Amino acid sequence: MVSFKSAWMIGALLGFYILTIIGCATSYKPPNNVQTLQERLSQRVDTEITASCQGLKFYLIPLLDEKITKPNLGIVPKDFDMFPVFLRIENISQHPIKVDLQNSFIVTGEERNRSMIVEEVVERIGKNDPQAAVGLGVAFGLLGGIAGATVGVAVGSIIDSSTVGSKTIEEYYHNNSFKPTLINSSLSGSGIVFYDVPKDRMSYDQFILSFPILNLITNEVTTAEISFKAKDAVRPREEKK
Amino acid sequence: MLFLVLAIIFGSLGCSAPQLKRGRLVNEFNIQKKISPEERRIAVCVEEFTTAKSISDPHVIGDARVGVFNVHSEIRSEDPTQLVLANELKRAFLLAGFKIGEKGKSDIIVSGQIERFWVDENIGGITENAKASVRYDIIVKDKEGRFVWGKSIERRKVSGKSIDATKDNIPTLMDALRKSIESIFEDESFWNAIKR
Repeated sequence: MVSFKSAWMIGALLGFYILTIIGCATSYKPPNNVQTLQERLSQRVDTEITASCQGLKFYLIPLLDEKITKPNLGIVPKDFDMFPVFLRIENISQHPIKVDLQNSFIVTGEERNRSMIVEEVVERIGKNDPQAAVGLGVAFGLLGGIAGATVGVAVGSIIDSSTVGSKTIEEYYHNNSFKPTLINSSLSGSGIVFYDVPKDRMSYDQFILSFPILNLITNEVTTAEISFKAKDAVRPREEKK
Repeated sequence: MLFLVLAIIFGSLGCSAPQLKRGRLVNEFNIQKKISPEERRIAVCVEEFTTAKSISDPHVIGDARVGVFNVHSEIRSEDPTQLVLANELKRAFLLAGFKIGEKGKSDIIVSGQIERFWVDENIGGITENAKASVRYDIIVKDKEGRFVWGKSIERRKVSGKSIDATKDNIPTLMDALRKSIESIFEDESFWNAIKR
């Protein structure tokens, strides 16, 4: 005969199990590679920002809207003075190139805003707002998020303790950062590039993304510049007019 | 008062960051594919790599958390990172059956740019681990300076959890460096380009 205590425990376990299934079914699964991320972001844009010059094709998705950045990056980048951009460069030329992202910048108004390396991005999130970093875990999945958040808060090392699926937040950012920067002929590089842009500079209508490209055969450096408008930034489709 | 004294004593224990000494750093390269003894040995000149602007001081290679209070402490290298990488690459090329030569007399010249050569620590409630990241571009040119092969290389490594990860900092960084170098010799496109 099942005692009251056992019945209660079985009931509690069943309840937890059902909640777990609902939680897993409704949670947003993070993209597991750059290609999936690009596909997801592409579905959100009506007009693609593309450009091509000297045998290179550029494909750009500025990431400003929090409804897009929250589920895919776990944060609202402008709260961290960051402007992320999804960039894909296809090298259809006959020569290998080096995309010099460390000397890349975004122009807002008359200001140049430098790019950031991924380690700096992760560090800034962790240092400036631990709660937001916890949000990275929470945003990506109910149970994983809560587990990550709990551990993170407990040890004060949120970035590294929160998990995205089976990956740490840091790994997730590394995996989705732009690479490779040395692109051989007929290959491509893609991923997110972060720019250090203070919040007050994000209200401009027009942006220019600039990055030097080195032709590894001739050692000639050219600067690629892609101009885009704030309204081109990815946003939920229903909000587009 | 007693607590304060004890805290200072214990807090200062192990308060020095490790240092990357000069010399042979990577213990054992696992390079499977090599130039066979019957083939002509290709002479390679490994130049000192440049550093990207993300590396402000090439002698600083990490951030250790030392003592009971996990105080931040710079991990320094006796040699600059460019030299560390160049020296280890030379050893790996020798193991792969190449000859090391001077610039004017070599068949190929290896150079590149280092973007990241860093180790720091994840600090947990009880346990910690070291995490290292090595990222660089390698470019191989022929003796006339023509591009032969190039690749962006990146390897990251995290040590197992331990009570004090500081002792694992240098070995973890060297492990990431070793893996990064081995990946060059595992790449078929490298061998195809070299033997062309």
